[in-house]
Amino acid sequence: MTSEGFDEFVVSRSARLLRTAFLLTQDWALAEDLLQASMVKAWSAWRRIEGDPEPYVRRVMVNTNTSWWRRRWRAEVPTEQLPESATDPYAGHDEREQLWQALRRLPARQRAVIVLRYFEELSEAEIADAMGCTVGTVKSQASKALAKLRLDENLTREGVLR
Amino acid sequence: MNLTQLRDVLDERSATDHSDFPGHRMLDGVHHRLRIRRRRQQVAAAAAAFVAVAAVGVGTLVAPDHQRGTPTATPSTPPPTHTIEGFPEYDGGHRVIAAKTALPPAKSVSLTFTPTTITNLSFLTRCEGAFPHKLSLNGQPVSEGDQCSGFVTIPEPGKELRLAVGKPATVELTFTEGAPTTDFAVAVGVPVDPATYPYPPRPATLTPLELPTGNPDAKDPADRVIVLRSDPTNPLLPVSKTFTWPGTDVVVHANTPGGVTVTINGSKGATCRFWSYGLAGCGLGDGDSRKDSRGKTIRRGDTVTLTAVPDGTSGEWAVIIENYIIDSED
Repeated sequence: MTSEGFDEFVVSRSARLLRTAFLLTQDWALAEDLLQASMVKAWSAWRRIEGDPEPYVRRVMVNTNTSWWRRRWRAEVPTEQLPESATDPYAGHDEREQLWQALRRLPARQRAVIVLRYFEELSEAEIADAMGCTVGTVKSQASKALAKLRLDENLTREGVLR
Repeated sequence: MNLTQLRDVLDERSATDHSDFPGHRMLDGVHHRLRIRRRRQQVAAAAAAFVAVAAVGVGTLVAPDHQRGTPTATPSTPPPTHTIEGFPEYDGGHRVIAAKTALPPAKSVSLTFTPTTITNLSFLTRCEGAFPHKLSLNGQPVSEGDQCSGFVTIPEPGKELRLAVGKPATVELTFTEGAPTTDFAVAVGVPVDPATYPYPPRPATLTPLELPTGNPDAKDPADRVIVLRSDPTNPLLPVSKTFTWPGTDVVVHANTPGGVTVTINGSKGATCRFWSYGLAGCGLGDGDSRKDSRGKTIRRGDTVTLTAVPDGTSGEWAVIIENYIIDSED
């Protein structure tokens, strides 16, 4: 089970890619699962990847997450009790917590654009490549996402993003 | 809009306790998955059978007030409402016939049942949280994953699974790293005829499908996202499209019960069947090993004609062919 450079790539890049996976899923367990699944897919295509494999892995991750997200809708069950939040170190940071919750409510592809643009600091062209869409689509998705964040009812009321 | 604040939130949230994530742990997990996949492929090849997840993703919990009949038919039988060991009796097209629950500190639960059919049996798992686990049938692995609640359907069991009508069989759910802190369970389901399945009531408004945008500007036609959507005026009409095959999986989405059968170059594939009014996806898999009606393997770059034939759908459905899943073994 060797493919030249693959193991080194996984070991050296996982920490950073896991952060991106977490921002896409907002769940550490799902993030690890997503990154593992993406790495497995990357291994299958390893010899076909030219240059730095990271954009390829990121692309797999973004698109896989979008599919998972669609499918997870089937599994979501309304609950009457919210999980414990006492362990959340950000519980007292109302503004940032609200911004985080607003991000959570974005559709998966819009959230992906935000993560790739403002966490990964990718260009619009790089984001388009990662998401398998046009630059125009990236622009429109980013615009919609930012509009939603700015116009989110909670954020507007609290004035977080104004 | 304070973009600095947005950047800070993204940076801080993703750094919590995981910034020092050990890469070798991820490597171990990836190797583990690769070994399982390879073993599955070997088993499948040796048995000349296939073990496939007919419905990708996890099962839905069933609404409490079911209706029996076709999606649009008037119910003729009082709906079943109960659960069995926490599993809805009817879910995802199957009916639970046996289930067993275990409590912590157990890390596995084993259920012996006597099958009345061996085709399209479903094996369901239930627990709280996400823990790596594997599911085995008569000692042979059939599924593994991290998300607790879901199901796997085995359309045609291979000989290695030693399944036979009337012969007791054992399915076992085992957690491989950690274990749930509350009860967990495994169950067996048998397929239910779509004509008699107790579908949930149709909601007043259907949730629209959110589908990926096509990428007509891609330099390589095989890099495009191909989307076939149902006819907006009649979701029962077949839809066809000719395009360059990207060599990947096909996923069907729908927001109502019904079926969609995909045919590629005249070769009829499995039917994706949907059982609820939630958004659902169904993967047809084997993207790199499809064959046309004459037995010729369809390869990335070939021109193909894909036809999707719906059956009983009453809302939106779509067939998505994206090039990001490249899952062949090198």
